[in-house]
Amino acid sequence: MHHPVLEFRGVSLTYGEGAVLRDIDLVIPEGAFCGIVGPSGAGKTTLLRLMDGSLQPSAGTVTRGTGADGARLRLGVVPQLEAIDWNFPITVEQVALLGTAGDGRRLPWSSAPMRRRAGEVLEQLGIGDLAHRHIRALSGGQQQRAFIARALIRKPDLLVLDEPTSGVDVRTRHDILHLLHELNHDGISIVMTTHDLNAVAAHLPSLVCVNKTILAQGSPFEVLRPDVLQALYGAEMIVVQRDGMLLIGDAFSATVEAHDPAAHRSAMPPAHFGKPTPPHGHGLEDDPDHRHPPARAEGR
Amino acid sequence: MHWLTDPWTGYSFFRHGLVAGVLGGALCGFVGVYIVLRRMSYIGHGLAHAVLGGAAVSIAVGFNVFVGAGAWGVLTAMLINGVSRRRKIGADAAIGVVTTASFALGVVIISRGGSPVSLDSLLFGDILGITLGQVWILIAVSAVIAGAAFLRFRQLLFATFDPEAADAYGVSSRWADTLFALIVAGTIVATMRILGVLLIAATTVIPAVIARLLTDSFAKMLVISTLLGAAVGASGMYVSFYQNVSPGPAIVLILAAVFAVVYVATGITSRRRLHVLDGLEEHGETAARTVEFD
Repeated sequence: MHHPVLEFRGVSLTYGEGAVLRDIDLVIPEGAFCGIVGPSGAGKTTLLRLMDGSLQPSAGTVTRGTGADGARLRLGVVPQLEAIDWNFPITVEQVALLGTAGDGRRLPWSSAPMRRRAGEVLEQLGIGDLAHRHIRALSGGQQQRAFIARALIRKPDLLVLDEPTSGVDVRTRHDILHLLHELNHDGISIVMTTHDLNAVAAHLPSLVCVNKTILAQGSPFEVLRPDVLQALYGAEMIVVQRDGMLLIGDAFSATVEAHDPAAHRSAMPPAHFGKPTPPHGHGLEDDPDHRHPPARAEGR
Repeated sequence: MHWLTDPWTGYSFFRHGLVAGVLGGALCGFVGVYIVLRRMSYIGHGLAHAVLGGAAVSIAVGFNVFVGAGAWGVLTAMLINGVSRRRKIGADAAIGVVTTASFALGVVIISRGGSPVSLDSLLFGDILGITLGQVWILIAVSAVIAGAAFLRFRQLLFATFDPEAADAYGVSSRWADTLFALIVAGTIVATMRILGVLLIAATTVIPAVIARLLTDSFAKMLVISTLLGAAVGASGMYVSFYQNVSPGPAIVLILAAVFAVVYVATGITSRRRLHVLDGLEEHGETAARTVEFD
Protein backbone atom coordinates (compact mmCIF):
# COMPACT_ATOMS: atom_id res chain seq x y z
CA MET A 1 0.00 0.00 0.00
CA HIS A 2 1.47 3.32 -1.10
CA HIS A 3 1.35 6.04 1.52
CA PRO A 4 -0.35 9.30 0.48
CA VAL A 5 1.81 12.23 -0.60
CA LEU A 6 -1.20 14.54 -0.37
CA GLU A 7 -4.47 14.22 1.47
CA PHE A 8 -7.41 16.64 1.28
CA ARG A 9 -10.07 16.26 3.96
CA GLY A 10 -13.24 18.39 3.71
CA VAL A 11 -11.36 21.19 1.98
CA SER A 12 -13.25 24.31 0.88
CA LEU A 13 -11.93 27.60 -0.42
CA THR A 14 -13.95 30.77 -0.61
CA TYR A 15 -13.12 34.06 -2.31
CA GLY A 16 -15.46 36.82 -1.16
CA GLU A 17 -18.96 35.36 -1.20
CA GLY A 18 -18.44 32.57 -3.72
CA ALA A 19 -17.03 29.11 -3.08
CA VAL A 20 -14.26 28.26 -5.52
CA LEU A 21 -13.97 24.74 -4.14
CA ARG A 22 -16.11 22.91 -1.61
CA ASP A 23 -15.95 19.63 0.31
CA ILE A 24 -12.89 18.25 -1.44
CA ASP A 25 -11.84 14.80 -0.23
CA LEU A 26 -8.89 13.56 -2.22
CA VAL A 27 -5.93 11.30 -1.67
CA ILE A 28 -2.89 11.36 -3.98
CA PRO A 29 -0.90 8.18 -3.26
CA GLU A 30 2.86 7.89 -3.71
CA GLY A 31 3.67 7.06 -7.33
CA ALA A 32 0.39 8.48 -8.65
CA PHE A 33 0.05 9.85 -12.15
CA CYS A 34 -3.19 11.75 -11.86
CA GLY A 35 -5.01 14.15 -14.17
CA ILE A 36 -7.46 16.79 -13.00
CA VAL A 37 -10.10 17.63 -15.58
CA GLY A 38 -13.04 20.01 -15.60
CA PRO A 39 -14.43 23.04 -17.40
CA SER A 40 -12.84 26.49 -17.28
CA GLY A 41 -13.43 28.13 -13.91
CA ALA A 42 -14.01 24.76 -12.24
CA GLY A 43 -11.23 25.35 -9.68
CA LYS A 44 -8.53 23.10 -11.17
CA THR A 45 -5.70 25.61 -10.81
CA THR A 46 -6.95 26.55 -7.35
CA LEU A 47 -6.76 22.88 -6.39
CA LEU A 48 -3.13 22.79 -7.58
CA ARG A 49 -2.34 25.93 -5.59
CA LEU A 50 -3.76 24.30 -2.49
CA MET A 51 -1.50 21.34 -3.22
CA ASP A 52 1.64 23.45 -3.55
CA GLY A 53 0.80 25.48 -0.45
CA SER A 54 0.50 28.88 -2.15
CA LEU A 55 -3.17 28.97 -1.06
CA GLN A 56 -4.59 27.93 2.29
CA PRO A 57 -8.05 26.36 2.57
CA SER A 58 -10.92 28.27 4.17
CA ALA A 59 -12.06 25.00 5.74
CA GLY A 60 -10.71 21.47 6.03
CA THR A 61 -7.12 20.28 5.96
CA VAL A 62 -4.46 19.60 3.36
CA THR A 63 -1.89 17.14 4.69
CA ARG A 64 1.42 16.62 2.93
CA GLY A 65 3.14 13.29 3.35
CA THR A 66 6.86 12.74 3.48
CA GLY A 67 9.33 12.24 0.69
CA ALA A 68 10.88 8.91 -0.26
CA ASP A 69 13.71 9.39 2.26
CA GLY A 70 11.29 10.25 5.07
CA ALA A 71 12.16 13.93 4.84
CA ARG A 72 9.76 16.76 4.08
CA LEU A 73 7.86 16.32 0.79
CA ARG A 74 9.67 18.11 -2.03
CA LEU A 75 7.42 19.74 -4.58
CA GLY A 76 8.15 20.73 -8.14
CA VAL A 77 5.67 23.17 -9.64
CA VAL A 78 5.38 23.78 -13.38
CA PRO A 79 3.13 26.78 -14.13
CA GLN A 80 0.92 27.44 -17.12
CA LEU A 81 3.12 28.74 -19.91
CA GLU A 82 0.64 31.56 -20.50
CA ALA A 83 1.51 32.94 -17.05
CA ILE A 84 5.22 33.39 -17.89
CA ASP A 85 6.77 36.67 -19.04
CA TRP A 86 8.67 35.39 -22.08
CA ASN A 87 10.55 38.67 -22.44
CA PHE A 88 12.14 38.29 -19.01
CA PRO A 89 15.93 38.31 -19.45
CA ILE A 90 16.71 34.74 -18.48
CA THR A 91 18.22 31.69 -20.18
CA VAL A 92 17.16 28.04 -20.02
CA GLU A 93 19.99 27.15 -17.63
CA GLN A 94 19.11 30.06 -15.33
CA VAL A 95 15.46 28.93 -15.25
CA ALA A 96 16.58 25.44 -14.25
CA LEU A 97 18.91 26.83 -11.56
CA LEU A 98 16.05 28.84 -10.03
CA GLY A 99 14.84 25.50 -8.70
CA THR A 100 17.65 25.73 -6.12
CA ALA A 101 16.76 29.29 -5.00
CA GLY A 102 15.11 28.08 -1.81
CA ASP A 103 18.09 26.03 -0.59
CA GLY A 104 19.46 28.81 1.63
CA ARG A 105 22.64 29.56 -0.35
CA ARG A 106 23.64 33.18 0.30
CA LEU A 107 25.90 33.80 -2.69
CA PRO A 108 24.18 35.12 -5.82
CA TRP A 109 25.91 32.74 -8.21
CA SER A 110 25.23 29.00 -8.43
CA SER A 111 27.83 26.53 -7.19
CA ALA A 112 29.65 24.13 -9.53
CA PRO A 113 27.62 21.08 -8.32
CA MET A 114 24.40 23.03 -8.92
CA ARG A 115 25.45 23.88 -12.48
CA ARG A 116 26.50 20.28 -13.05
CA ARG A 117 23.11 19.06 -11.82
CA ALA A 118 21.35 21.61 -14.07
CA GLY A 119 23.35 20.30 -17.04
CA GLU A 120 22.40 16.71 -16.21
CA VAL A 121 18.69 17.54 -15.92
CA LEU A 122 18.67 19.53 -19.16
CA GLU A 123 20.41 16.63 -20.92
CA GLN A 124 17.88 14.20 -19.44
CA LEU A 125 15.08 16.32 -20.88
CA GLY A 126 16.77 16.62 -24.26
CA ILE A 127 17.44 20.36 -24.13
CA GLY A 128 21.07 20.32 -22.97
CA ASP A 129 22.23 22.10 -26.12
CA LEU A 130 19.76 24.93 -25.47
CA ALA A 131 21.10 25.77 -21.99
CA HIS A 132 22.37 29.24 -22.95
CA ARG A 133 19.46 30.18 -25.12
CA HIS A 134 16.89 32.78 -24.07
CA ILE A 135 13.54 31.22 -23.10
CA ARG A 136 11.73 33.17 -25.82
CA ALA A 137 13.78 31.40 -28.48
CA LEU A 138 12.34 27.95 -27.67
CA SER A 139 9.41 26.00 -29.06
CA GLY A 140 6.40 25.35 -26.83
CA GLY A 141 7.59 21.86 -25.94
CA GLN A 142 11.11 23.09 -25.13
CA GLN A 143 9.69 25.87 -22.94
CA GLN A 144 7.66 23.29 -21.04
CA ARG A 145 10.81 21.19 -20.57
CA ALA A 146 12.75 24.18 -19.26
CA PHE A 147 10.22 24.59 -16.45
CA ILE A 148 10.11 20.85 -15.81
CA ALA A 149 13.92 21.10 -15.47
CA ARG A 150 13.46 23.79 -12.80
CA ALA A 151 11.29 21.33 -10.88
CA LEU A 152 13.52 18.29 -11.42
CA ILE A 153 16.72 19.99 -10.30
CA ARG A 154 15.49 19.82 -6.71
CA LYS A 155 14.68 16.10 -7.03
CA PRO A 156 10.95 16.42 -6.26
CA ASP A 157 8.76 13.74 -4.77
CA LEU A 158 5.66 15.32 -6.32
CA LEU A 159 5.47 17.17 -9.62
CA VAL A 160 2.48 19.50 -10.05
CA LEU A 161 1.81 20.78 -13.57
CA ASP A 162 -0.83 23.29 -14.64
CA GLU A 163 -2.05 22.49 -18.16
CA PRO A 164 1.26 21.24 -19.56
CA THR A 165 -0.43 20.22 -22.83
CA SER A 166 -2.13 23.54 -23.43
CA GLY A 167 -1.21 25.44 -26.59
CA VAL A 168 1.13 22.82 -28.07
CA ASP A 169 0.72 20.70 -31.19
CA VAL A 170 -0.25 17.02 -31.16
CA ARG A 171 3.32 15.73 -31.47
CA THR A 172 4.61 17.96 -28.67
CA ARG A 173 1.67 16.98 -26.47
CA HIS A 174 2.52 13.33 -27.00
CA ASP A 175 6.20 14.00 -26.23
CA ILE A 176 5.37 15.85 -23.02
CA LEU A 177 3.00 13.14 -21.78
CA HIS A 178 5.55 10.48 -22.70
CA LEU A 179 8.22 12.37 -20.74
CA LEU A 180 5.91 12.66 -17.72
CA HIS A 181 5.26 8.93 -17.98
CA GLU A 182 9.02 8.27 -17.80
CA LEU A 183 9.41 10.58 -14.80
CA ASN A 184 6.54 8.78 -13.10
CA HIS A 185 8.27 5.47 -13.75
CA ASP A 186 11.36 6.95 -12.11
CA GLY A 187 9.33 7.30 -8.92
CA ILE A 188 8.00 10.86 -9.08
CA SER A 189 4.32 11.29 -8.24
CA ILE A 190 2.61 13.55 -10.79
CA VAL A 191 -0.55 15.62 -10.74
CA MET A 192 -1.56 17.70 -13.74
CA THR A 193 -4.57 19.66 -14.93
CA THR A 194 -5.71 19.53 -18.53
CA HIS A 195 -8.61 20.15 -20.87
CA ASP A 196 -7.52 17.40 -23.20
CA LEU A 197 -9.74 14.42 -22.35
CA ASN A 198 -8.50 12.21 -25.17
CA ALA A 199 -4.88 12.67 -24.16
CA VAL A 200 -5.50 11.86 -20.50
CA ALA A 201 -7.65 8.89 -21.46
CA ALA A 202 -4.72 7.49 -23.43
CA HIS A 203 -1.85 8.34 -21.09
CA LEU A 204 -2.99 8.72 -17.47
CA PRO A 205 -3.98 5.87 -15.15
CA SER A 206 -6.17 8.00 -12.86
CA LEU A 207 -8.42 11.01 -13.22
CA VAL A 208 -10.25 13.42 -10.95
CA CYS A 209 -13.25 15.31 -12.36
CA VAL A 210 -13.65 18.69 -10.69
CA ASN A 211 -16.31 21.35 -11.00
CA LYS A 212 -16.22 23.26 -7.69
CA THR A 213 -16.28 19.86 -6.01
CA ILE A 214 -15.11 16.41 -6.98
CA LEU A 215 -17.70 14.74 -9.20
CA ALA A 216 -15.82 11.53 -9.91
CA GLN A 217 -12.39 9.96 -9.53
CA GLY A 218 -10.87 6.72 -10.70
CA SER A 219 -9.39 5.21 -13.87
CA PRO A 220 -10.30 6.76 -17.25
CA PHE A 221 -12.65 3.84 -17.97
CA GLU A 222 -14.44 4.40 -14.65
CA VAL A 223 -14.64 8.17 -14.92
CA LEU A 224 -14.98 9.08 -18.58
CA ARG A 225 -18.62 8.10 -18.97
CA PRO A 226 -21.30 10.16 -20.74
CA ASP A 227 -23.27 10.73 -17.53
CA VAL A 228 -20.20 11.93 -15.60
CA LEU A 229 -19.05 14.17 -18.44
CA GLN A 230 -22.58 15.57 -18.84
CA ALA A 231 -22.59 16.48 -15.15
CA LEU A 232 -19.04 17.88 -15.40
CA TYR A 233 -19.39 20.06 -18.49
CA GLY A 234 -23.16 20.57 -18.62
CA ALA A 235 -23.12 19.37 -22.23
CA GLU A 236 -23.76 16.05 -23.89
CA MET A 237 -20.55 14.17 -24.64
CA ILE A 238 -19.98 11.08 -26.73
CA VAL A 239 -17.64 8.38 -25.44
CA VAL A 240 -16.50 5.69 -27.86
CA GLN A 241 -14.58 2.64 -26.69
CA ARG A 242 -12.65 0.80 -29.36
CA ASP A 243 -9.67 -1.59 -29.17
CA GLY A 244 -9.12 -0.74 -25.52
CA MET A 245 -9.05 3.00 -26.27
CA LEU A 246 -11.42 5.75 -25.20
CA LEU A 247 -12.37 8.53 -27.60
CA ILE A 248 -14.33 11.47 -26.24
CA GLY A 249 -16.18 13.98 -28.39
CA ASP A 250 -18.51 16.89 -27.97
CA ALA A 251 -21.94 15.61 -29.04
CA PHE A 252 -23.14 18.99 -30.27
CA SER A 253 -20.24 19.41 -32.67
CA ALA A 254 -20.40 15.79 -33.75
CA THR A 255 -24.11 15.69 -34.54
CA VAL A 256 -24.95 19.18 -35.75
CA GLU A 257 -21.90 20.97 -37.06
CA ALA A 258 -20.13 17.99 -38.61
CA HIS A 259 -23.09 16.42 -40.40
CA ASP A 260 -25.40 19.26 -41.31
CA PRO A 261 -24.36 20.60 -44.74
CA ALA A 262 -26.80 23.47 -44.35
CA ALA A 263 -24.94 24.59 -41.22
CA HIS A 264 -21.68 24.72 -43.18
CA ARG A 265 -23.23 26.46 -46.16
CA SER A 266 -24.72 29.22 -44.03
CA ALA A 267 -21.46 29.78 -42.19
CA MET A 268 -18.86 29.66 -44.94
CA PRO A 269 -18.33 28.47 -48.51
CA PRO A 270 -17.70 24.72 -48.95
CA ALA A 271 -14.16 23.47 -49.03
CA HIS A 272 -12.96 23.17 -52.59
CA PHE A 273 -10.10 21.24 -54.10
CA GLY A 274 -8.90 21.52 -57.69
CA LYS A 275 -11.78 23.35 -59.35
CA PRO A 276 -12.85 26.99 -58.90
CA THR A 277 -15.92 27.77 -56.80
CA PRO A 278 -19.11 28.18 -58.91
CA PRO A 279 -19.77 31.90 -59.41
CA HIS A 280 -23.20 32.12 -57.73
CA GLY A 281 -22.62 30.35 -54.47
CA HIS A 282 -23.74 26.85 -55.40
CA GLY A 283 -23.34 24.20 -52.73
CA LEU A 284 -21.78 20.78 -53.11
CA GLU A 285 -25.10 19.21 -54.13
CA ASP A 286 -25.07 21.39 -57.26
CA ASP A 287 -21.59 20.42 -58.29
CA PRO A 288 -21.71 17.97 -61.26
CA ASP A 289 -18.65 16.12 -59.97
CA HIS A 290 -20.51 15.33 -56.77
CA ARG A 291 -23.75 14.30 -58.47
CA HIS A 292 -22.07 11.73 -60.69
CA PRO A 293 -19.52 9.14 -59.77
CA PRO A 294 -16.19 9.37 -61.54
CA ALA A 295 -15.90 7.62 -64.92
CA ARG A 296 -13.22 5.29 -63.59
CA ALA A 297 -15.71 3.76 -61.15
CA GLU A 298 -18.36 3.34 -63.81
CA GLY A 299 -16.05 1.33 -66.06
CA ARG A 300 -15.55 -1.40 -63.51
CA MET B 1 41.56 67.07 -18.64
CA HIS B 2 41.32 70.22 -16.56
CA TRP B 3 37.65 70.50 -17.37
CA LEU B 4 37.19 67.23 -15.49
CA THR B 5 39.29 68.02 -12.43
CA ASP B 6 38.78 71.76 -11.98
CA PRO B 7 35.19 71.59 -10.64
CA TRP B 8 36.21 68.71 -8.32
CA THR B 9 39.21 70.47 -6.81
CA GLY B 10 37.68 73.93 -6.72
CA TYR B 11 34.20 73.46 -5.31
CA SER B 12 33.12 71.33 -2.34
CA PHE B 13 29.46 71.53 -3.43
CA PHE B 14 30.49 69.92 -6.73
CA ARG B 15 32.38 67.14 -4.96
CA HIS B 16 29.36 66.32 -2.78
CA GLY B 17 27.04 66.61 -5.78
CA LEU B 18 29.20 64.39 -7.98
CA VAL B 19 29.42 61.64 -5.35
CA ALA B 20 25.66 61.92 -4.73
CA GLY B 21 24.92 61.92 -8.47
CA VAL B 22 27.05 58.83 -9.12
CA LEU B 23 25.76 56.91 -6.10
CA GLY B 24 22.14 58.00 -6.55
CA GLY B 25 22.25 57.20 -10.26
CA ALA B 26 23.76 53.78 -9.62
CA LEU B 27 21.24 53.01 -6.87
CA CYS B 28 18.27 54.05 -8.99
CA GLY B 29 19.65 52.12 -11.99
CA PHE B 30 20.10 48.97 -9.89
CA VAL B 31 16.69 49.07 -8.21
CA GLY B 32 15.07 50.09 -11.49
CA VAL B 33 15.82 46.65 -12.99
CA TYR B 34 13.56 44.99 -10.43
CA ILE B 35 10.92 47.71 -10.81
CA VAL B 36 10.83 47.41 -14.61
CA LEU B 37 10.87 43.61 -14.69
CA ARG B 38 8.07 43.47 -12.14
CA ARG B 39 6.16 45.85 -14.43
CA MET B 40 5.81 48.26 -11.52
CA SER B 41 7.16 51.42 -13.14
CA TYR B 42 3.90 53.20 -12.41
CA ILE B 43 4.03 52.23 -8.73
CA GLY B 44 7.60 53.55 -8.48
CA HIS B 45 6.48 56.78 -10.11
CA GLY B 46 3.50 57.07 -7.78
CA LEU B 47 5.48 56.25 -4.63
CA ALA B 48 8.04 58.92 -5.51
CA HIS B 49 5.20 61.44 -5.61
CA ALA B 50 3.64 60.10 -2.44
CA VAL B 51 6.75 60.46 -0.28
CA LEU B 52 6.57 64.24 -0.80
CA GLY B 53 3.60 64.16 1.58
CA GLY B 54 5.62 62.20 4.13
CA ALA B 55 8.61 64.50 3.78
CA ALA B 56 6.46 67.63 4.19
CA VAL B 57 4.64 66.27 7.24
CA SER B 58 7.95 65.17 8.82
CA ILE B 59 9.51 68.58 8.27
CA ALA B 60 6.40 70.38 9.55
CA VAL B 61 6.32 68.41 12.82
CA GLY B 62 10.10 68.40 13.24
CA PHE B 63 10.56 64.67 12.66
CA ASN B 64 13.50 63.08 10.81
CA VAL B 65 12.71 63.50 7.10
CA PHE B 66 14.32 60.25 5.97
CA VAL B 67 12.59 58.08 8.55
CA GLY B 68 9.25 59.90 8.15
CA ALA B 69 9.24 59.85 4.35
CA GLY B 70 10.41 56.23 4.30
CA ALA B 71 7.67 55.11 6.67
CA TRP B 72 5.18 57.16 4.64
CA GLY B 73 6.31 55.39 1.46
CA VAL B 74 5.82 51.93 2.99
CA LEU B 75 2.41 52.94 4.41
CA THR B 76 1.39 54.28 1.01
CA ALA B 77 2.33 50.99 -0.65
CA MET B 78 0.20 49.12 1.91
CA LEU B 79 -2.69 51.55 1.41
CA ILE B 80 -2.54 51.01 -2.36
CA ASN B 81 -2.70 47.27 -1.73
CA GLY B 82 -5.68 47.70 0.58
CA VAL B 83 -7.64 49.97 -1.79
CA SER B 84 -7.01 47.75 -4.80
CA ARG B 85 -8.40 44.70 -2.95
CA ARG B 86 -11.87 46.12 -3.64
CA ARG B 87 -12.76 44.33 -6.84
CA LYS B 88 -14.22 47.45 -8.49
CA ILE B 89 -10.95 49.39 -8.09
CA GLY B 90 -7.87 48.33 -10.05
CA ALA B 91 -4.32 48.75 -8.72
CA ASP B 92 -3.57 51.52 -11.25
CA ALA B 93 -6.59 53.52 -10.10
CA ALA B 94 -5.64 52.94 -6.45
CA ILE B 95 -2.14 54.29 -7.16
CA GLY B 96 -3.68 57.32 -8.86
CA VAL B 97 -5.91 58.09 -5.88
CA VAL B 98 -3.53 57.42 -2.99
CA THR B 99 -0.28 58.85 -4.35
CA THR B 100 -1.82 61.97 -5.86
CA ALA B 101 -3.63 62.75 -2.60
CA SER B 102 -0.38 62.32 -0.69
CA PHE B 103 1.48 64.51 -3.19
CA ALA B 104 -1.19 67.22 -2.91
CA LEU B 105 -0.96 67.11 0.88
CA GLY B 106 2.80 67.69 0.65
CA VAL B 107 2.38 70.62 -1.74
CA VAL B 108 -0.26 72.24 0.51
CA ILE B 109 1.89 71.94 3.66
CA ILE B 110 5.02 73.30 1.96
CA SER B 111 3.25 76.12 0.08
CA ARG B 112 1.64 77.33 3.34
CA GLY B 113 5.11 77.80 4.74
CA GLY B 114 5.12 74.72 6.91
CA SER B 115 8.54 73.66 5.66
CA PRO B 116 11.95 75.35 5.63
CA VAL B 117 12.78 73.35 2.48
CA SER B 118 11.63 74.89 -0.81
CA LEU B 119 9.01 73.14 -2.87
CA ASP B 120 11.24 73.39 -5.95
CA SER B 121 14.10 71.53 -4.30
CA LEU B 122 11.78 68.67 -3.31
CA LEU B 123 10.12 68.51 -6.73
CA PHE B 124 13.23 68.82 -8.90
CA GLY B 125 16.05 68.00 -6.49
CA ASP B 126 18.86 70.13 -5.10
CA ILE B 127 21.96 68.11 -5.80
CA LEU B 128 24.21 71.17 -5.46
CA GLY B 129 22.87 71.76 -1.97
CA ILE B 130 23.71 68.24 -0.74
CA THR B 131 25.61 68.23 2.53
CA LEU B 132 28.35 65.82 3.53
CA GLY B 133 25.96 64.25 6.06
CA GLN B 134 23.41 63.56 3.33
CA VAL B 135 26.15 61.99 1.19
CA TRP B 136 26.97 59.63 4.05
CA ILE B 137 23.32 58.71 4.45
CA LEU B 138 23.19 57.92 0.73
CA ILE B 139 26.34 55.78 1.03
CA ALA B 140 24.83 53.89 3.98
CA VAL B 141 21.49 53.30 2.23
CA SER B 142 23.25 52.16 -0.97
CA ALA B 143 25.46 49.74 1.01
CA VAL B 144 22.48 48.23 2.85
CA ILE B 145 20.45 47.81 -0.36
CA ALA B 146 23.42 46.37 -2.26
CA GLY B 147 24.09 43.94 0.61
CA ALA B 148 20.47 42.81 0.81
CA ALA B 149 20.27 42.37 -2.97
CA PHE B 150 23.60 40.45 -2.99
CA LEU B 151 22.58 38.06 -0.22
CA ARG B 152 19.06 37.57 -1.57
CA PHE B 153 19.86 37.74 -5.28
CA ARG B 154 18.41 34.36 -6.27
CA GLN B 155 15.31 34.71 -4.10
CA LEU B 156 14.57 38.20 -5.49
CA LEU B 157 15.16 36.91 -9.02
CA PHE B 158 12.72 34.03 -8.50
CA ALA B 159 10.06 36.25 -6.92
CA THR B 160 10.45 38.75 -9.76
CA PHE B 161 10.31 36.15 -12.54
CA ASP B 162 7.63 33.75 -11.27
CA PRO B 163 6.05 34.98 -8.01
CA GLU B 164 3.19 32.46 -8.22
CA ALA B 165 5.53 29.47 -7.91
CA ALA B 166 8.03 31.02 -5.49
CA ASP B 167 6.52 29.65 -2.26
CA ALA B 168 6.44 26.10 -3.60
CA TYR B 169 10.21 26.35 -4.17
CA GLY B 170 10.96 27.54 -0.64
CA VAL B 171 11.15 31.24 -1.57
CA SER B 172 8.72 33.29 0.50
CA SER B 173 7.02 35.61 -1.98
CA ARG B 174 5.60 37.71 0.87
CA TRP B 175 9.06 38.18 2.35
CA ALA B 176 10.52 38.99 -1.07
CA ASP B 177 7.74 41.52 -1.75
CA THR B 178 8.33 43.19 1.62
CA LEU B 179 12.08 43.36 0.97
CA PHE B 180 11.41 44.81 -2.47
CA ALA B 181 9.02 47.46 -1.04
CA LEU B 182 11.63 48.45 1.56
CA ILE B 183 14.33 48.68 -1.11
CA VAL B 184 12.15 50.89 -3.33
CA ALA B 185 11.09 53.13 -0.43
CA GLY B 186 14.70 53.41 0.78
CA THR B 187 15.92 54.32 -2.71
CA ILE B 188 13.26 56.98 -3.21
CA VAL B 189 13.86 58.58 0.17
CA ALA B 190 17.66 58.51 -0.17
CA THR B 191 17.64 60.07 -3.64
CA MET B 192 14.71 62.45 -3.16
CA ARG B 193 16.92 65.46 -2.35
CA ILE B 194 19.24 64.68 -5.25
CA LEU B 195 16.81 64.23 -8.12
CA GLY B 196 13.49 65.44 -6.80
CA VAL B 197 10.28 63.44 -6.54
CA LEU B 198 9.23 64.31 -10.11
CA LEU B 199 12.42 62.98 -11.69
CA ILE B 200 13.25 59.90 -9.60
CA ALA B 201 10.95 57.71 -11.70
CA ALA B 202 12.93 58.56 -14.86
CA THR B 203 16.25 57.65 -13.25
CA THR B 204 14.91 54.29 -12.11
CA VAL B 205 13.05 53.32 -15.27
CA ILE B 206 15.20 54.64 -18.15
CA PRO B 207 18.55 52.94 -17.31
CA ALA B 208 16.78 49.61 -16.77
CA VAL B 209 14.87 49.90 -20.04
CA ILE B 210 18.09 50.76 -21.91
CA ALA B 211 19.84 47.79 -20.31
CA ARG B 212 16.94 45.52 -21.30
CA LEU B 213 17.34 46.61 -24.91
CA LEU B 214 21.03 45.73 -24.77
CA THR B 215 20.98 42.30 -23.12
CA ASP B 216 18.92 39.16 -22.54
CA SER B 217 20.78 38.34 -19.32
CA PHE B 218 19.40 39.39 -15.93
CA ALA B 219 22.85 39.73 -14.31
CA LYS B 220 24.20 41.79 -17.21
CA MET B 221 21.08 43.93 -17.09
CA LEU B 222 21.79 44.74 -13.44
CA VAL B 223 25.41 45.66 -14.22
CA ILE B 224 24.60 47.77 -17.30
CA SER B 225 21.74 49.61 -15.62
CA THR B 226 23.81 50.37 -12.49
CA LEU B 227 26.86 51.57 -14.43
CA LEU B 228 24.72 53.60 -16.80
CA GLY B 229 22.92 55.27 -13.89
CA ALA B 230 26.27 56.15 -12.30
CA ALA B 231 27.81 57.42 -15.54
CA VAL B 232 24.82 59.58 -16.40
CA GLY B 233 24.70 60.90 -12.82
CA ALA B 234 28.31 62.12 -13.26
CA SER B 235 27.69 63.43 -16.79
CA GLY B 236 24.65 65.34 -15.59
CA MET B 237 26.74 67.09 -12.94
CA TYR B 238 29.33 68.26 -15.48
CA VAL B 239 26.67 69.35 -17.98
CA SER B 240 24.96 71.24 -15.18
CA PHE B 241 28.24 72.90 -14.12
CA TYR B 242 29.33 74.02 -17.57
CA GLN B 243 25.93 74.76 -19.12
CA ASN B 244 24.41 76.34 -16.01
CA VAL B 245 21.31 74.14 -16.02
CA SER B 246 19.64 72.27 -13.18
CA PRO B 247 21.43 68.90 -12.60
CA GLY B 248 18.29 66.73 -12.10
CA PRO B 249 16.68 67.60 -15.45
CA ALA B 250 20.11 67.39 -17.14
CA ILE B 251 20.51 63.80 -15.88
CA VAL B 252 17.05 62.85 -17.11
CA LEU B 253 17.59 64.45 -20.53
CA ILE B 254 20.92 62.65 -21.00
CA LEU B 255 19.22 59.36 -20.10
CA ALA B 256 16.43 60.07 -22.58
CA ALA B 257 19.01 60.82 -25.30
CA VAL B 258 20.89 57.58 -24.58
CA PHE B 259 17.60 55.69 -24.68
CA ALA B 260 16.74 57.20 -28.08
CA VAL B 261 20.15 56.23 -29.52
CA VAL B 262 20.02 52.67 -28.13
CA TYR B 263 16.41 52.22 -29.21
CA VAL B 264 17.23 53.15 -32.81
CA ALA B 265 20.50 51.18 -32.87
CA THR B 266 18.97 47.99 -31.45
CA GLY B 267 16.04 48.34 -33.87
CA ILE B 268 18.44 48.41 -36.81
CA THR B 269 20.39 45.44 -35.41
CA SER B 270 17.19 43.42 -34.94
CA ARG B 271 16.11 44.09 -38.52
CA ARG B 272 19.53 43.02 -39.82
CA ARG B 273 19.33 39.83 -37.77
CA LEU B 274 15.88 39.07 -39.19
CA HIS B 275 17.22 39.57 -42.73
CA VAL B 276 20.05 37.14 -41.98
CA LEU B 277 17.61 34.59 -40.57
CA ASP B 278 15.31 34.96 -43.57
CA GLY B 279 18.29 34.26 -45.84
CA LEU B 280 19.27 31.20 -43.81
CA GLU B 281 15.73 29.85 -43.87
CA GLU B 282 15.70 30.19 -47.64
CA HIS B 283 18.80 28.00 -47.64
CA GLY B 284 17.17 25.38 -45.45
CA GLU B 285 18.57 26.49 -42.07
CA THR B 286 16.10 26.85 -39.22
CA ALA B 287 15.85 30.13 -37.38
CA ALA B 288 15.92 28.45 -33.98
CA ARG B 289 19.39 27.00 -34.61
CA THR B 290 20.89 30.34 -35.48
CA VAL B 291 19.60 32.57 -32.68
CA GLU B 292 21.97 32.56 -29.72
CA PHE B 293 21.53 34.84 -26.74
CA ASP B 294 24.04 35.86 -24.17
